[in-house]
Amino acid sequence: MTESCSSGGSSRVARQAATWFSMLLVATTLGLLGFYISRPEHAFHMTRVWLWIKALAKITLVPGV
Amino acid sequence: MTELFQAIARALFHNGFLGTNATTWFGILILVSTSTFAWVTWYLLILLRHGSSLYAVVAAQLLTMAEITAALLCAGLARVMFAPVVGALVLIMSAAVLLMFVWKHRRELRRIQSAEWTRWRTGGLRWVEYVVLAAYAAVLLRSLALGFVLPPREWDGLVYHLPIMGAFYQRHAIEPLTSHIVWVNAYPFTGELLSLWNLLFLGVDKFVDIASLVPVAFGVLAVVGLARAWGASRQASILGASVFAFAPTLIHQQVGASTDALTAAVFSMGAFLIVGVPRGSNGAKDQSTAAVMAGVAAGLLAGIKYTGLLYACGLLLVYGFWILVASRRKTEKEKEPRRGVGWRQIVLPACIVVALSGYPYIRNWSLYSNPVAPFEVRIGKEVLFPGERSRDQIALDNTSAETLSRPAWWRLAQAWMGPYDPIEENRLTGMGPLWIIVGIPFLIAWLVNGFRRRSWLQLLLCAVTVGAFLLTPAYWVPRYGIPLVLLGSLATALQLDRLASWARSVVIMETLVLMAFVLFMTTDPVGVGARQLIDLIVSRNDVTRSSADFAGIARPVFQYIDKHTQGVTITYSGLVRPIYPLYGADFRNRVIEILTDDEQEWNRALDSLGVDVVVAQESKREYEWASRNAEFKEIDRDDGIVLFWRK
Repeated sequence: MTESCSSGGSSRVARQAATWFSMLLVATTLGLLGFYISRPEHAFHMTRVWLWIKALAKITLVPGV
Repeated sequence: MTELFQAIARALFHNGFLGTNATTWFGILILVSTSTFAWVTWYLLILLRHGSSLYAVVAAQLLTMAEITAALLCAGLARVMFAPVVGALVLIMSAAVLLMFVWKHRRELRRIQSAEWTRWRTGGLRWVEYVVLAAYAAVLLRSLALGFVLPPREWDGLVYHLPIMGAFYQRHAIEPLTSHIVWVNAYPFTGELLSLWNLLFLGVDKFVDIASLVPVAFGVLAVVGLARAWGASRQASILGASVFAFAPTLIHQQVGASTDALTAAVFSMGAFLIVGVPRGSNGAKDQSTAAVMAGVAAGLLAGIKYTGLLYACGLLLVYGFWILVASRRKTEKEKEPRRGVGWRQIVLPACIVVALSGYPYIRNWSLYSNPVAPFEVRIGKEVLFPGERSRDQIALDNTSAETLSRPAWWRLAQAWMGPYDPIEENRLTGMGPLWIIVGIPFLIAWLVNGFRRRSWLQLLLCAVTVGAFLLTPAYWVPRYGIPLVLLGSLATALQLDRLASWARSVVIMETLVLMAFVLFMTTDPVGVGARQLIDLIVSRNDVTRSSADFAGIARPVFQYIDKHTQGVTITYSGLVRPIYPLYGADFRNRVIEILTDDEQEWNRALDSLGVDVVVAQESKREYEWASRNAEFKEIDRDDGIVLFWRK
């Protein structure tokens, strides 16, 4: 009886620890993600890559361009 | 529509198929079949010995690289480095292994292989794993396609990596080189030998800049293996490996002659093959296999680049710790405790390291009295080996004075967090968003858990990687930090399983989104316009796809040489960089160095060596000498580089 109580208690603590651990890690990763994507340089470079892909598609698919 | 199909047909079937003629296709066939034969032989041997297919797959790659390096070293030092000789050496070595150790066990092998295949087939992948694998397959295909149509074009490759390879290839020998560029003379060259392997059977430099592609893919697989060996689930291992696999600098370096990605990949393979060595028939970990793998990985690392030496030492430390623990652990079948580490476990890896990487260090020691020339080696104020360049000078070469004036943590944060500042060399700061957003938080969590759980081996791997990273000159340059991403990758794999299921789902979604983001942002090959790429695909052949078009300076001069030479002898002065385009894509030109302080001697050498073309930097004395030489006339000049042609 004592053993099962103690085991139940420690598993509850372990569950709580896992939840806190998860919350901390997820909050950190989401915070960093927000910080990262808020950098204005991304928009510029995404546009650049997009224009490159468009140019490539246009030259490839439209004969004579 | 008909026009479109005609255009596609023209693009496919010009100058042979895809601009590659039948002879080169035959060379590709020989290259692929010889490499595959070597790989399959090692795979079967390791599978037979250990029964684990993932371990055998990675081990076979490492051993194949070592075999190719050894064959090229033997043939090169014997001055018979011709394609048939090197090819025969590799085939004979592999055939000997196959006949002596594998053939007689073929029935058992069939049973093991069939059991492994059933295990894989019934395992079943989940959709997340399929998405990651499909995205990585797209990365590999992109790299292969770019490697196929683009000539070598990356600066370090054109300045010293590929000139080393070119010089060995033209001389059919590995011998001391005398160039104005100190890196050509002194740099270790295992990476260049792997490029040379891709050149030897083809005769054109089509694949010399994708020598890292296959090793990097196996390096990624090794991350999965290492995470699995330390208890991570399959899904967590694959997702964790994506942090490493989708680091932008790793993607970019799959096409290029730089060796940072190759170093990280070999380090990753070595760590897995030591730590993840399966148990033998007596239930104990197979120490002999671990010893061979440690020696091969450390030997390759030390031969790839000088900082590889740091990672080689780190790997040997991990091996030392692992073998100490393994040699004291008693298995269930053993009654007596073991006797400790045998001499074989120390001597074997040491011999392999020296055999694979000793030559460049011994050469440097005998020529420059410094095994790591041109670097100065000092401990405190004591100079062990004098050299031209100190650690601080290297930092100055790679970083602006303004950045250098900031503290080290700022430089690191800037390189990792600031996406497109001048410190980075590839898009997304090289190490990429997965490292920053997923890798770093999980790495911190892993370290904390490692101390709590006393996972000393894992902590040691972290310590040696971080130590080697911090000892690397200019370590804030993202491409030097690729091995760190390996740690972030492992940490993600090992911690993901510890998360609550909702948190796990959030991280998985983040990882997939960032993976797609990296895939998109690395679509365009840096420095190549869309029209230029189409021109290279549909109009050029393997000879006219020339690195002269990508020479960072004096491009018109290099393009002129490329168009107007057919088997000439070229010499160049100091400060002429890059020198690789002078060879031509099919190595038709002989490139030589004339090192002298005397004008008359230089002129005599021009005549005796039959030099047709001189490329000189206008601040160098060779420029004045060539200007005064009546036999030569100036043809072109750009960016201070002047081209002289024999009249």
